[in-house]
Amino acid sequence: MSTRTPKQAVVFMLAFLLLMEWLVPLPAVTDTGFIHIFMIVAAIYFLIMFLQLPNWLTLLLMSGVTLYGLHHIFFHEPFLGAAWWQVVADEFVVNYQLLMNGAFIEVTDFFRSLMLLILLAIMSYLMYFWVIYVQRIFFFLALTVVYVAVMDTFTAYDATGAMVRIVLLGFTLLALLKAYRLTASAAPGERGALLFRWSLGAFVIVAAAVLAGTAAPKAEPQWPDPVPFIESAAGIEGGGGGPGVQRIGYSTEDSRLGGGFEMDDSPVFQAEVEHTEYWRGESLNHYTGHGWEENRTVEEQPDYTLYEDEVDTEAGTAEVQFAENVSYDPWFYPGEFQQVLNSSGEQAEADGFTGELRTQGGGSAPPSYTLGYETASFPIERMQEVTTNESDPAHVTEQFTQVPDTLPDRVADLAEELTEDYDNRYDQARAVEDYLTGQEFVYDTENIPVPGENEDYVDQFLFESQRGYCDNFSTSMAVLLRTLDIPTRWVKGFTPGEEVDYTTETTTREVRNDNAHSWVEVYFPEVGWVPFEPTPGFSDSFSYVYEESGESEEEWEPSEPETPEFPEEDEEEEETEEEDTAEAAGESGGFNWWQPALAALILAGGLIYFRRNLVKLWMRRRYQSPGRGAGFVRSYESLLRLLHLLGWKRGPHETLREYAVRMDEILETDSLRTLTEHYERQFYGRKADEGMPDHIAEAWRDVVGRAGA
Amino acid sequence: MSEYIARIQKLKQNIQQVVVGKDQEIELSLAALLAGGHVLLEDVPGVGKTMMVRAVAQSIGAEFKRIQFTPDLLPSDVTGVSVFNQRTQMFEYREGPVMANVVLADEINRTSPKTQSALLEALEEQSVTVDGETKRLKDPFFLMATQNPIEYGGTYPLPEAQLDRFLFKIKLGYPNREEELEVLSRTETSHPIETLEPVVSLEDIAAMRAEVENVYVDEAVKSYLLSIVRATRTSDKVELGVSPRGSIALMKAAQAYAYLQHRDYVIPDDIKQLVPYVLPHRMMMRNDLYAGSFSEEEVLQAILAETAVPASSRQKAAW
Repeated sequence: MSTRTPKQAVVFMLAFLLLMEWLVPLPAVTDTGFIHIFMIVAAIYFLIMFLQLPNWLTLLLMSGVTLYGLHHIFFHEPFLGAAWWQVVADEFVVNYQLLMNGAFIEVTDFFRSLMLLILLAIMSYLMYFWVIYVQRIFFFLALTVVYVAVMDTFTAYDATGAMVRIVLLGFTLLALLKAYRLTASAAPGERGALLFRWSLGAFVIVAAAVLAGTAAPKAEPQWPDPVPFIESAAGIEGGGGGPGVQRIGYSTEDSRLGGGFEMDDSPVFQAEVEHTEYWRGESLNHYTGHGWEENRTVEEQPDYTLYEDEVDTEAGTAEVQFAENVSYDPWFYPGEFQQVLNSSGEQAEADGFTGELRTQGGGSAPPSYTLGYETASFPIERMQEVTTNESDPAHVTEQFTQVPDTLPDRVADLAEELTEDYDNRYDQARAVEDYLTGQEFVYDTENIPVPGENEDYVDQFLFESQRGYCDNFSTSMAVLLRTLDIPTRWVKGFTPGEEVDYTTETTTREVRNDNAHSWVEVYFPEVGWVPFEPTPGFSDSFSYVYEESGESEEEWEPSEPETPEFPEEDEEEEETEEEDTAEAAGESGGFNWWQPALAALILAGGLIYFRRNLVKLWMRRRYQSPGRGAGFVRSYESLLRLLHLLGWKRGPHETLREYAVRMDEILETDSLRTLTEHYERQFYGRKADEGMPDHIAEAWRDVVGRAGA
Repeated sequence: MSEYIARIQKLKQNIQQVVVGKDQEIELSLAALLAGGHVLLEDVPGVGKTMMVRAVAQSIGAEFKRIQFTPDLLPSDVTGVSVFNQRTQMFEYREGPVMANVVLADEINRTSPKTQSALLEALEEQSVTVDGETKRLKDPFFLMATQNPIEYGGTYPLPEAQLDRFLFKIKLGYPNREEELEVLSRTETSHPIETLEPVVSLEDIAAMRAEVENVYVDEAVKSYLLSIVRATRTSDKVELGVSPRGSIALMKAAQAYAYLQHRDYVIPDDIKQLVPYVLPHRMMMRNDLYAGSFSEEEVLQAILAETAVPASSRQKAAW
């Protein structure tokens, strides 16, 4: 194999890209920050390998590249200088001793990188062998898929894009190699066309499959997630490095959010209440990057209030009865707490910072209690008047616009982008809420990652996982708005619960563990803390009103009993499907590049699939307007070209007559012979072109009809 | 040419009455006759060589003579000799067997080169010279020579230069079973050659020959012909390729062949058909260990399989 062809370059390049899919996930499992160096070095290995230099030169070049790559990553000394050699030698000595002592884990980064590079060099050789000599790659492709699947399942690495790339690269590579093997046995003259047809067909099919696969709605996994089982069987603690968090019901500890939410329908309490309000446990003001905490360092703190005086409120009473054997410290309450009406002697006090209602003197909440509360209608016009944060009270600004320094910039950039069209706080909040309830995000209570030590909870949700439950959505909304200096706080508690009985005045509701919820409150001067619901699938049942007309824009929705708070699996699927349908119909508004691409592919596929019919149609048309061509000679020659197109090629050594005899056998006719003799008269016999006499026209139609059939 | 189509057809059929299953060879013989060329039949005895020649001769009403070549045959036995007439006291020319329209030279390789060249010179010059007197051969003059490829003992193989005086070298081969059965049936009572009637006159043949000369050879076809001939000269398996005389012979043969197919123009198929009969005896193969041993036919088939046939206006525009 002394000469290398462009064909070989193409497949070798594809093989290289396939190998790169092994390197891409490495940052997810190691602490390397130099993956691009490894990739560049690997590319150079492949280039050296492809050039097929003498062995000693290959070895020399590869060693040089390896050393320079390592130098780039680890050393500050001048490359190949005396000090540099000293450092390298030291590394070798240290690692040699470590290896000799069996301390394989402790080898230095330098040595591990060296090993990786040597592995890559070996891979470049193997790839050359597989792709150029053996011309088979399936085994490696299958391994790649397995590797990426494992990476996706057990690490934070998201392999969606990688899978698409692997399928595209891998199948194109397989098809090309197969084509090369096929054409090797074909006649030299036919190789080009055969290769072209095969590759084009294969590429169209692969691309169509990938596009369709990417675009089509996907069913949820049919099997339960095997990861927890495998991990428990193997004794591995949770994924992603954080503590294994699994929330059940109302939580008291929120400094480390993330992980799944377990659906548990055991009851917490029953309540007779006049309004359909969320049950408040407490609100938190300090976002750490991993969760929420209380910050009590503010100097001056007024009483915990929800509504400013200027807002219309309505009073009500709630009678709460905890379920048997259930005990919670906080007293849950709807709306704004007013006073305790009946609680078998216990008194409650509200925490000024969190709004948590606790038993005076400590201890858990009484098994049953009655309290008075107020709910408010929020005037939209007044909220829309808020365009600056100048009128926010100092203690509000201080407590509720904090974000951690570690928050990645892209969160703020996203908030900026989402709200750039709006000038007031209300519309901005709505824009963020709309974005979070939109199609970008999927509601899911399982497989929710716990951010690692260096990851941000909000950033991970917004840009990586894009799936989650109320905590993800509410925290994200709160943090997004805070980057715009809009005061927000994170509230947790329960949704109103399921209606179990009602009178004309009151409704009896049952609140269960899976009603546990969190939402966001945004501060508006002269209005107070206004709740928002960024979690998709939850009815946004707060009362916002236009004052002038007095009509509610969105009213309470008493229909709630029918809908569980946490949408069940099937509903969720429906929702996803609807979104996908909307996307497919192009109603999403955004530009979907794959739509025209898919259309073009379908068109191309159709053209290829129906090419015989199309060619037939075209030939008939051509014949029916003979005035356009230069008579019979041109027509006959175009007929031959079209027969070529249909896959019946005349070998260059074949005379027309031999070809016609062969074709007539295939088409089971003798018309092409007739046409050919007619053509010979004009082409070799200098006879005048008489156009098409009847019997020739008849033969023509016969050939066209049979060829197109 | 229309007036002769029927006669050509009849001529072919007439010969086919005698020679069973050798349509291609009959066609070639007629082509040689019309092109003014001669034929070398190479095959084992008894496959119908003589019968073929006699059938052709009788069908065109021509005078037929046969010369059996033996080692002691003298040139004068072929060309004729001057004999002293006692009565008139003058030398008188006695015609040799070559003075006929159709001559069969049987086992031509058995005679001495001297006699061979006397005959072949006659072919080239269209005349013989006896005692300084030039005698023209008859017109038309058509020679069919045979040689036996098996018995080489005591033979004088024809030199290359003389071989290419023949337009075609044809191998008849054995008939297949059905054909041979047919031969038996036909010869059961009397040989059909005895009753064969002439169907075409010598004048007709002369007229046809004139028409054959006017058969059109397109530039594209000439180009195809030359591609093949020139390929024999560059092939590394060939010691000596086909000469320009070979090119001319191929073209003339193709003209006659096309004429026999009722065409007044040559198509590449004609060339392709005739190459195995016109070219092999005009080349010399390299026969050394290094090049390996190939027959002329193998090399020519390979050349035909590689030579592109001009078949479209676009290709034509390139010349």
